[in-house]
Amino acid sequence: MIEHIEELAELYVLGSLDDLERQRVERHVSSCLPCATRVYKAEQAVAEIASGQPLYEPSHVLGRRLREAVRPAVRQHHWVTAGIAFAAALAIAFIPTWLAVDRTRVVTQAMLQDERALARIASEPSFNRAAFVSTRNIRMDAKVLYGPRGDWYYVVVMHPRPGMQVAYVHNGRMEMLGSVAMHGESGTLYLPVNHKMEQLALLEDNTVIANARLIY
Amino acid sequence: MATAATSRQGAEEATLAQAFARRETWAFDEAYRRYGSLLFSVALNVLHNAEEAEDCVHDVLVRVWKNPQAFAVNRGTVRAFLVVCVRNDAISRQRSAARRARLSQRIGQESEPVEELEIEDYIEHARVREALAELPDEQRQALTLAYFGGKTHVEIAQALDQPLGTVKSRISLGLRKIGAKLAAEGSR
Repeated sequence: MIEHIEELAELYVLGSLDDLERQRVERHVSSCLPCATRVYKAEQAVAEIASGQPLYEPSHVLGRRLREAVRPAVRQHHWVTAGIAFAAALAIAFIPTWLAVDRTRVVTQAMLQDERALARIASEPSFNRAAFVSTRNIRMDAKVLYGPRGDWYYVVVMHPRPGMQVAYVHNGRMEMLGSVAMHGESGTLYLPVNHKMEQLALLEDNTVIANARLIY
Repeated sequence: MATAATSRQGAEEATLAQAFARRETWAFDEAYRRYGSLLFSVALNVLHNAEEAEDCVHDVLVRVWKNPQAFAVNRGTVRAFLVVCVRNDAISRQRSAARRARLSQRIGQESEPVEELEIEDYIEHARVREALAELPDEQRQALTLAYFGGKTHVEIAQALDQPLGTVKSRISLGLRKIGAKLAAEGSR
């Protein structure tokens, strides 16, 4: 018989358990959806209480330390992704069904993002747009639609190639924002980022192929 | 209008959660931009020291980001997940400091005084304050010691001179009631 964690869920989230009890909860929650859901609800309640307390601003140093600590991990993650992609490529020959299912999942996620972007665009009385200009003097059909307050961005690339990425260019530095999801003739990336960005770059194989200047 | 804004906010949180789970860089930056102050405040409210609070937030965010299994989309919002991670890490740090202080005193060395947490209701937002006030006294008392005092259920049982099982039930019920009330208000 499964022994559910019951009220230990709330005590776990509050950090009120000792190490042994905490480990027991973690083991159980990893394989029991009802108890995991109870833990997540308790987390939500704790976050609500926390949000009712006075807010203090951390120093700017913390943001810088975090960026420095996380960027190498991101680069490393790209290698991991590349490894996974390579393994997936090998698997294509052997597991076509699995690939079809995975592709469906990726496309579904991209469609969901697009749906959110379109809902956002539809809810705005107006929005801005900027074209990406190729750095190689070739015709480029890519645009970014963005909120006048700089609180969302929707990058659309026609005839995209696999692995295209979008980066924020600021003070001579580039921060990767995410990958363009391909579906059919177009590729998109929705970014609900509430931060005014003046320049975006489109990258292919880690090389900038186009830039877009955003005016507010 | 409020419903449309809430629904949009929910959709944005879902987008952020998906991107955070996929470990897209923008999601990390956006999560810190949105919740950085909240996370720092959560740590500061436990540790009462800005430098330690920043260290706590830094270590937790980096640890979470470097562990691909740490956050999954189906586990709720990024905000709630990070708040609990930071708070629990801050409590662990606070308990370690208290343990070190007790050990130092026991072996006769001079130790840094460890500030005892004051258990007081310093909730600013009326809706959270009201939700706490509506709890029966015994549940509010146990939950206050657990949340604001960062105490274990064993310590709370000792402090209140109540059986352990009773204290567990009071904390659990109190938190679930608060969660249900605030969730119902949020969806209105």
